[in-house]
Amino acid sequence: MPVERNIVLEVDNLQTHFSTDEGVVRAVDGVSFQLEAGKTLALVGESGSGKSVTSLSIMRLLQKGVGRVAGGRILFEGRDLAALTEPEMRRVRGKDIAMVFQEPMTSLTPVYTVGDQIAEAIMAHEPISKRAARARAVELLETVGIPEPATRARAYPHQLSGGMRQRVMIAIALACNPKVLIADEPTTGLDVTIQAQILDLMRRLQKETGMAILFITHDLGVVAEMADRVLVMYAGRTVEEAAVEPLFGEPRMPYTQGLMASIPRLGSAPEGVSHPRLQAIRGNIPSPRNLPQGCAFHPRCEHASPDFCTHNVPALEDSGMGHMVRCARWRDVLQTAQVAP
Amino acid sequence: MTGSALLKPTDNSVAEPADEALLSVRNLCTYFPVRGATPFAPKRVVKAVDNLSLEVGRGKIVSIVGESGSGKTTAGRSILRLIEPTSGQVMFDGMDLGQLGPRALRDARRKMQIIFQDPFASLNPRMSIGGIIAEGLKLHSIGEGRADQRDRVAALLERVGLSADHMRRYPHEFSGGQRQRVGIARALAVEPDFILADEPVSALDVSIQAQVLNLLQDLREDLGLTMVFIAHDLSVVEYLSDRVAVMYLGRIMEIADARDLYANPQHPYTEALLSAAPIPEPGAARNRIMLKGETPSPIDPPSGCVFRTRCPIAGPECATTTPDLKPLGKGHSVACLKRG
Ligand SMILES: Nc1ncnc2c1ncn2[C@@H]1O[C@H](COP(=O)(O)OP(=O)(O)OP(=O)(O)O)[C@@H](O)[C@H]1O
Ligand SMILES: Nc1ncnc2c1ncn2[C@@H]1O[C@H](COP(=O)(O)OP(=O)(O)OP(=O)(O)O)[C@@H](O)[C@H]1O
Ligand SMILES: [Mg+2]
Ligand SMILES: [Mg+2]
Repeated sequence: MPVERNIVLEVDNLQTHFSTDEGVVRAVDGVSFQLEAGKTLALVGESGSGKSVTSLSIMRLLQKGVGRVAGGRILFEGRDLAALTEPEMRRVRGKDIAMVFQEPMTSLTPVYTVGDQIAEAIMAHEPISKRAARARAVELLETVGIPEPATRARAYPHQLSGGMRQRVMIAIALACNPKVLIADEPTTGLDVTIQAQILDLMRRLQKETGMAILFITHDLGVVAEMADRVLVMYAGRTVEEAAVEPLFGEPRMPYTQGLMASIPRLGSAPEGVSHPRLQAIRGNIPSPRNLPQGCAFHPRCEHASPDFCTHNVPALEDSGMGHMVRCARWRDVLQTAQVAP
Repeated sequence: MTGSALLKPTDNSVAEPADEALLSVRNLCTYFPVRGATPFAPKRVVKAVDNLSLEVGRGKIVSIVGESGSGKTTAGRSILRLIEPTSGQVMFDGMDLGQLGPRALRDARRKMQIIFQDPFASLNPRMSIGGIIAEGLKLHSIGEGRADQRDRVAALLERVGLSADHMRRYPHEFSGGQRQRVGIARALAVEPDFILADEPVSALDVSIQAQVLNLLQDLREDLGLTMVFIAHDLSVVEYLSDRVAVMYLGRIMEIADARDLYANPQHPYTEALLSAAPIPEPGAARNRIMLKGETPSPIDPPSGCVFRTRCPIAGPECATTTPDLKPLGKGHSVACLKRG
């Protein structure tokens, strides 16, 4: 029996370019994915890999005259977002697709109370009185777990802690029941105990509303907790994409493998070794202004072959059951991994 | 030498610090005055560091872990006397830092260096990498002449995994991980015995974090460096630490040998921190202890135990009695009325 998949957002071969003094930077180079209602897709990768640019491209919030979508399509419920006028796009933003950023202080207005800012977000999209919008704002603050919501609604952003401000941002994002929530590093910089609360909140709200979440993070621990499916980016490209269990259970791209191996895991320090070392990936993250030829990961890859990987960009291949991998040597890599203890 | 002697909580008795300790901190308090809400309101203080005691043995790494605002940076800077502590004693290599005159203090500081969190902000953008690293050499007249100083800089760059020809380049030409290596080379230049590393990998990407943590491990092993390593996350310091102190609102909640702390945490806050760390395994069993609310304001901390407002096991006595660190044996101490 075919499973009904309700795709709300589809990104197809997205190319986003920036013009800079040093020429064109291909910040996103052919990224594709589908986002299903009620599910979470995690976009994971290290700094500069193109995660935020992907989300800004979807929202059409790239800096004008500097960045532009140079190719590909972005479909929201089948509608091509590129074809919308700016007023139409404004209706999509906030109402259909909402966004939560890493630093809530910069996205909140310092001179208005948080209650007013939430009410404003509701009134921008719904014909509702100011009074009713204010009441909804207080309800939303309660939904996102802010104690004494009626009092807090009268607070200004700087009077709240980082964790509280992030809750306010989530309340604003949820104000109009969006179908898609794009969360760009929503817990980066928060304390782990507060992060645990916010992640818990996002899971609960997704269950209640059925919204799809595009969760951007560089933290694989957070990915494992939040994602149904994971897309790993490196230097502007998708290098691996799979459901969360196979991605963690059997990573196939050497970069993903290296990343998994390099995270310090609690309780993993080897017994009886006096000064243990972590497994690091050698070398540095390449600058997108100066990408290596061929596979962008080859200078750091222990499996790279001098004749192929240094010259050719491998295709993103289905290695079985929709586990996509961009590596010319994934079959050999997989074998090595299986032989190793 | 026994591991348990490395960082034992000290009481107020007159016992001499263990002779193998390079650094010994006793009852350190750093309070900051804060303005009241009105000009006539009573003056108040933030107890950023409250009665902190620890010892760091030669060649050992002691980590201070806690969430933001718990007082880690203030503790580190007070130890080096970059901030004047309100009270308490810091003994370094047999010297009482509080009793040293400015000149002697400067000489002592040469032996104590810092690595900062933000590799972007901590390097002067107008100086070449070579100039940045050579600064300390010049300040302390290390090396015979320019050629010798240049050789030292070259060797330092190689030592931290960069190359000698990076010397003439500028900070903006380097990635975060490379800049952090430069910061480490700068700290090593004056041949310190002790390094305070204040969240040196928090701003770095995962794959680069591991490189820098391994580099610090190499340096400790090869050069016999002693370190205090500050982090907000217990997982980062597990490989590196001999001892770990967990701080909350200016106070040490628990302190133990690393292996013991991870395997056998006693304080409910340590348990919560351990259980809040996301596990990179989908579907892993998470018996998460979800803490209520947020860290209270340090200006008006809870009475009794400062953790009690978020503590899952707090009782009425916790509001009235401030728990001291209680030794449980094997160098493991916990400040909790309900445990130990
Ligand atoms: N306004 C801009 N002008 C020029 N280049 C840009 C601009 N914005 C982004 N880029 C480039 O695009 C690339 C991708 O950036 P992006 O912000 O998407 O990275 P990211 O994956 O979100 O990283 P991080 O984890 O650091 O947030 C970067 O190399 C960046 O330099
Ligand atoms: N110069 C100062 N004046 C007044 N209060 C201060 C000062 N420096 C620090 N504090 C306060 O002391 C407390 C401890 O701050 P500190 O920077 O030491 O914390 P931390 O543990 O290093 O936090 P983070 O993880 O955010 O770096 C905080 O409440 C802070 O606001
Ligand atoms: Mg980003
Ligand atoms: Mg700090």
